[in-house]
Amino acid sequence: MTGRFVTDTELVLRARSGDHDAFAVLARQAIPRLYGAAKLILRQPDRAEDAVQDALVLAWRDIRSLREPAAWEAWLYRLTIRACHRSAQAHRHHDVAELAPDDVPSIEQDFPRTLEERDRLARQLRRLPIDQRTVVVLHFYLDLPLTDASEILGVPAGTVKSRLHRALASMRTAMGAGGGAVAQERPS
Amino acid sequence: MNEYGMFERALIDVLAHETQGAPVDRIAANVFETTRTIKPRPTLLATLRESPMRIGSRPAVGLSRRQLALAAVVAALLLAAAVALVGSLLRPSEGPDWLGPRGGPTRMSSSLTGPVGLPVLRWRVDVGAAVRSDPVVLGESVFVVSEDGLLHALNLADGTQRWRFDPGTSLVGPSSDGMTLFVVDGQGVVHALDVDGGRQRWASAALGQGASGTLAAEGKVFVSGSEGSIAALDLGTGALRWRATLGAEPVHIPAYADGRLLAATDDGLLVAVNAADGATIWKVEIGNEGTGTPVVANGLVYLGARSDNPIGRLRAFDAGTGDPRWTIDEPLFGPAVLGSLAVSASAKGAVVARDAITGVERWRFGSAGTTRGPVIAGSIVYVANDLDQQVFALDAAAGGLLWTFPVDAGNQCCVVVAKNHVMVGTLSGSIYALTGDGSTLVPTAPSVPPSVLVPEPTATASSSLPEAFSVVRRIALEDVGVRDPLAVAVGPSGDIYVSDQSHHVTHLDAEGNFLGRWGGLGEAPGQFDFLPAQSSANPHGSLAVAPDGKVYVSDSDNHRVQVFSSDGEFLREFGSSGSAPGEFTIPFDLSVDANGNVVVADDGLERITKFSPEGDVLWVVDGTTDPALRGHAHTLDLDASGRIVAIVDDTGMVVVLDSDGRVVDAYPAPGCDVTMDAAGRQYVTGCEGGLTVYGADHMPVATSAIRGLGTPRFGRDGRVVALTSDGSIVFLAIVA
Repeated sequence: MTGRFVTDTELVLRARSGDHDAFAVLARQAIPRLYGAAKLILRQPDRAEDAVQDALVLAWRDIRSLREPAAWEAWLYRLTIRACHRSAQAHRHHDVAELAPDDVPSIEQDFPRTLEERDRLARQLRRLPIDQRTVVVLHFYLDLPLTDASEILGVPAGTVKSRLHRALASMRTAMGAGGGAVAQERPS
Repeated sequence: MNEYGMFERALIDVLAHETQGAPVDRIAANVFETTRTIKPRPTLLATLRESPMRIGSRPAVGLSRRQLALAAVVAALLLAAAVALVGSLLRPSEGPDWLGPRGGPTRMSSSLTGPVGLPVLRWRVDVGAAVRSDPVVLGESVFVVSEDGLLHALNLADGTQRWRFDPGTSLVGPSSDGMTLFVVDGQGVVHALDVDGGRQRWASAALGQGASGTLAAEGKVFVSGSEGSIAALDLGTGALRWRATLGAEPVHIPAYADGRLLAATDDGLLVAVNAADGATIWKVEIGNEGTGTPVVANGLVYLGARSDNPIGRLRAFDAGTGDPRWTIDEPLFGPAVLGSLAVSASAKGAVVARDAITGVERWRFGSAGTTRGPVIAGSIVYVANDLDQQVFALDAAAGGLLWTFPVDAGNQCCVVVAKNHVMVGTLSGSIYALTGDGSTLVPTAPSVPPSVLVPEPTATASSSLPEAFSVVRRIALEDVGVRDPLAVAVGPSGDIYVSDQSHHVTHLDAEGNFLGRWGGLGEAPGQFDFLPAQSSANPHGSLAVAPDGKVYVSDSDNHRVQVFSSDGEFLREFGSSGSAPGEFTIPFDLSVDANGNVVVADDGLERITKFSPEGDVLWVVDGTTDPALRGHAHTLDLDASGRIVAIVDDTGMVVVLDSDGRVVDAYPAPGCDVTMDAAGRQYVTGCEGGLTVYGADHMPVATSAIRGLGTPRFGRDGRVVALTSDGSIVFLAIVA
């Protein structure tokens, strides 16, 4: 049996033409990262699963809107993030608003070095507002430059940058790792 | 390695650790189960759905603005066909929601779908005081604020009240994020209410008097205030997140898109504000033109004149930078935008469609007075006319008139298209819910400049329609001793009966020769009083002849109906003064069906009663049993199957009831009388004269230019007679 190497570009073009098998290959290889991003944003595995499923179904249905095959992955991220935000919107009243940092002892050196400190960092990540958490996920988990994150979110690059800055400052402050607090609210 | 580097690396590790163990097989199986059964959308539709995304400098997803403009033209054509097909299949309550002023945060006032066909009044309710802001239509409910400071939650299906919220002060709003309702009271307290039961989730601190409205986005509720400020509240708790001062004058309800609020102040500032923290992103000074609510679409901010402002301009700015794009030197309000179409109304009655990207005019529709709040839904533009008290539906492609619908008062805000309904709120406190009859609409008026356009009171006033009748014969009633005739009816053998203001009924043969006369003023059996005691009321004296030849006379001021043999012998009477079932205040028009059942409209009680041949009450209907019947129901007529057609002159609606009194059809056809021929065509006589004939599809098919023609009456032998204003009776032949 012989085979040949099929590029993602070719798979996208095939999928655009209605080839479901090509779409299935692309979808399968994307699921781990989409699920990871959705789980980080939504914080609940079952809802993350639903969001990824919604995004992939939409991707198949609207795949012909994708003009540039190379943008397949970025577009999937956009669809997934939208699905996450829809889910978050729909479940907002079930969510517990946890925006204030914990009252925790500060850590003076070599942060974070213990398992416990990493757990605390994960907890602070989960407590970020969803917009900030989304930017953190795009930049640090999906490894996207801020310009791409801006396109995916459909917001100006400056907004992405400021959300990221606030997210990091907020987590650092909460962890007591220095860096000074950045006010999230203007005084009234 | 510095501390930040360590922190970020730790964060990346945490992210990786948190995302282990994706259930790839399960997700894939679920996805493919669905995707195997559907096909990708066609390129054009898919592309139009997806907002543009660039990777590097190249567009990767969706269309560029220029392509979008071109595609929108094509899509509009496809949409018109698709909407007609899909819309007719949709249940009335399907379709998008309407989440507050101009539809939602972008203020685009548009949706892809709306009702199909001619308007059908589903219900009308009175909320007790003027309605000056858009209702929210969400799920199966309609939420509306009335000027007396109440928030009403109504059932979309029938307009009945679900719950009510009364803060005890004035109220502005509502708006919604899809789950919660927001209103602001007179002290600037924002109330967040549960849409299902009206339970208050939270109330904010008082933000000051004079708030213009609320907007929910990004997990916040934004409140625009009278003192040049915008406040951002936490959507979950109502806690103040930030407050920004934009200027010294009141801030109009802002728009939201892409992380920023676009707000205009009364002193001519347009400001883009970061929704996250209230920081100003850019600011443009327009000058004292009286600006209104900004609208965001296509990467542009549209800023029109304030409502009712006779001066001012329509301007477009780059939403990202505030750079001016184009200016129209005409006082147009902020537009409704769908794709590349932007439609504005104005205080001078114009409705103007422009290319949303370039500002180039596409078409223009003119009317008198002020036009309000255009909404684009699919291929139709809906506009309220404040002076004419009507709602227009225009063809979005070229501006041709599709239909008009009369409402009971002026309109200062509110035409809303959601859930396949057109909702209209009026200054008299009425909410109208219209659906469509599914018919195919053809524009009946061309798009012409306002300078040459004469306001059309209705879509029906078209001079191109054929003449309905030819006059076969005319008899001066004075020749048979009848002066001031009131009503006419035709018997089964062609005999004619005429009532007059001397309180008599005159009997003529089929050729118009005198056969007899009976009556005279009095209360005894066989006597009449046709002139109601109220001097303002019109004289009545309506007549109907049953298939067996019995003559029924509406003896108005004696509060009864009398029954006579064909030659005037008194047989019986029924009804007496009162408001109980079977009683009358002013029995008015009446009709008799093939089985001898009698249907009578009461002008005083504003209700319709059906009696058995023995005079027993079978049913009573009025505006409380069906809002379509609210008002004076005039001339009743019956078809072969016992369906009743009536016209309500207060609303200008023709209403059709089945033999059990249920409203089965209603359509706008302003007039004071309606009758039906054997083919079911309905003849509507205008309150000031003129006659229009409507076909089964509610479209006008003929009109009449016969001078002073009264309501035509159809005999069972095919004979048609009518009174004329010069005191004649005319025998007519149907020619169109």
